[in-house]
Amino acid sequence: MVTPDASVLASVARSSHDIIGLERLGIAIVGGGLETSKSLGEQLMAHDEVADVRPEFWMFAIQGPPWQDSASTTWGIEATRAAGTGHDGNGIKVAVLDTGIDRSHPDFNHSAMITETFVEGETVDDVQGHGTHCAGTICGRPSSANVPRYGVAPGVILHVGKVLNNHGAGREGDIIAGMIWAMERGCEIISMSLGRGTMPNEPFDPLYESIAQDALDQGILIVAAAGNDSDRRWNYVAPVGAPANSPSIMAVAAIGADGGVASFSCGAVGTGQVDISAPGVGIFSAFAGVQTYKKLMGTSMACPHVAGLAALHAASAPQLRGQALWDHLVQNAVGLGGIPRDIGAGLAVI
Amino acid sequence: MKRVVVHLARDSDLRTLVVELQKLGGIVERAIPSVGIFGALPDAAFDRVRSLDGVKYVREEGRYQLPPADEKVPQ
Repeated sequence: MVTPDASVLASVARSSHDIIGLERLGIAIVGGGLETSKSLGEQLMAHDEVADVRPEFWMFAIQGPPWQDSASTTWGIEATRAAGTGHDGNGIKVAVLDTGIDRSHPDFNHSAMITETFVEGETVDDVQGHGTHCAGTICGRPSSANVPRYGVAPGVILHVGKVLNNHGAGREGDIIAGMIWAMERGCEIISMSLGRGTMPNEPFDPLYESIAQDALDQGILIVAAAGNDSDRRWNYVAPVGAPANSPSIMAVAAIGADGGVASFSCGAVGTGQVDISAPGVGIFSAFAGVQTYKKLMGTSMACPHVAGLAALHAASAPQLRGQALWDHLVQNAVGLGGIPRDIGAGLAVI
Repeated sequence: MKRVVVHLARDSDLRTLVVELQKLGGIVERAIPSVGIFGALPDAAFDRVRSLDGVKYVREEGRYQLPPADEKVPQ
């Protein structure tokens, strides 16, 4: 997106690119392919008149709901339109803070991976399975024989911080150490499918909030699972858990394949907020050990969908970092007819 | 002794605070500059630690627990 100032368009024209100038909108669409466009983009950004340059996305009509798993993609990939965008999150560093990862899983062989354990006496290897599932949703291999695509952003540089032990339990000190590690490693996105229940008017914890504020200031987006303590069959909506209830952490609710909020998904009652939502029921992904794959449900499954989508957006434009990335995700979310208490701005999509 | 989180101010002196906590009978397991100290503290030392320069708050450390990775249980 540029201001199609005549001098700028002239410089583009000299480089023999196809140009469609939309002067009333202040937009020019420049052809030439991804690699050529990268160097051209750098040249264009040197002009004061140019507000923004990013690769063009393919856009598709919103399909469904209801969505369903197919032979080629999971319903989560279909609903979020993660496939076929022309981006795979290449080069974006995404941290998943969880129970570790099954490093021998065949679907992670393709991607770069940095690992660290913060659990005393345990390696980063995932015994419990939750961490491998979440990592798979972020960046599981795009195509395997007889396995649908389920990884949102297979090109990311995955950073695995083991902060929950082999029994799925974690101490705050280990979790916060993992957050700081991911920030110091330069991760653009931190995915935290963990939390604890809160009381309806319980204030957010200033420790998590100060870390998350620092993260946003450094261009890092932290997303966290909103929690699973509701039961809408009984009209009970539980407040967003901690640390997702921190204002500077993006709280992710879960929706089902019918497009409605999941019965268990926590909502914006009391002091916490729901910022966005993502697929979180019947989610197929990688699993640790001999089982290889498993379907799980929960806001823990929704959270890595948003992390992966954030990586796709971040890969499309270097200025989409931190708060700008947050705003972009929210602005692009699809309402689906739900209420903000349950789904925030709506379904995160690319 | 209770497991604790000591939330630190941005300009706090980490080295001095670690020494102070140990003098009060505390055990320091993890110390992150400008963020927090994690470890254990005798019940009687809580108020004293709260009064130290650079300490925003002291509270018991929380734990997180995932349910079993069962497809019928929300994660």
